[in-house]
Amino acid sequence: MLSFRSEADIDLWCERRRLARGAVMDLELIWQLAQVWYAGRTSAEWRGRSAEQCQAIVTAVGLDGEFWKF
Amino acid sequence: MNDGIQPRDWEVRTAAYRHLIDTFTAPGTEDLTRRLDMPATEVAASLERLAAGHQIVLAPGETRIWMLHPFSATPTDFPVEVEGGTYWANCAWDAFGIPAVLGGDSHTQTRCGESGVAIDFGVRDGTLIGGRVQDEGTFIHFAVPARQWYDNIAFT
Repeated sequence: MLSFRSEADIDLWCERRRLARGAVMDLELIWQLAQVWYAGRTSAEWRGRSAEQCQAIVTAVGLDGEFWKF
Repeated sequence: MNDGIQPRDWEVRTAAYRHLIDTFTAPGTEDLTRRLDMPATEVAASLERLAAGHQIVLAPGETRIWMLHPFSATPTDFPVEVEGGTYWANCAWDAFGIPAVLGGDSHTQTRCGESGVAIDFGVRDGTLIGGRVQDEGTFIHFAVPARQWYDNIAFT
C-alpha cells in the first residue's frame, strides 16, 4: 500500500490503473493498526495467526465490511 | 497455513528477524547456518516451509529472504530511519510496523504515490509525527482486499 497527499490523488492513481478504489485511512489509524497488527511479530513465541485472529484485530480498530474479511 | 511448519522452522524465523534487526540487512542462508549451527540444506528447507505458511516471503524462485514483515530485505520507497541506521519497509503500513515492533522513534521520507510530492512521517515517543504537506493530509490506500493479500503480496 502507498501513501498519498490527498484522496483526490488516490482516485487519480486508481483511475489510471483502472482499479477500483480500495480502503483509505489516515496516518493516525494506520499507526494504531500497525501497533496491534505487528505486536509480538519478532518474538520467539510467534506462531502465526488464524484468519479469526486477524479478523479480530482489524475489527478492534474499527475496520469492517467485505474489504476487511480474512 | 502453518500446518507444514516444523518446530525448528520457528527458530529459523526468529534468528532471521534477529539478524535483520541487529545488522540492518536480511540474512542469507549462510548467516542462518552460522547462527543456528544448522546445515544449509535444512535452513533452506525451513525457509521454504515458512514461506509456504506465509510467515516469511522469499524472492520469486529463490530461497533468498525478500520480506520479513514489516521489514523488506531490499530497498523500497519506504526507508525507516531509526537510531543507528535505516531499515526498509515493504509499504506505507509497514513503515509504521517497524517502529511498532522495535518500540523506538522512526522517520520515513517518501513521496505521494500519484503526484510524487514529498511526504514524511514517523513516530516519536510513541506518537505519530509529520504526515502533512501544506494543508493536505496524508492518506494510505489499501488497493487489495485483505483476503487477497497473498495472491500477490508485493502488490497490496
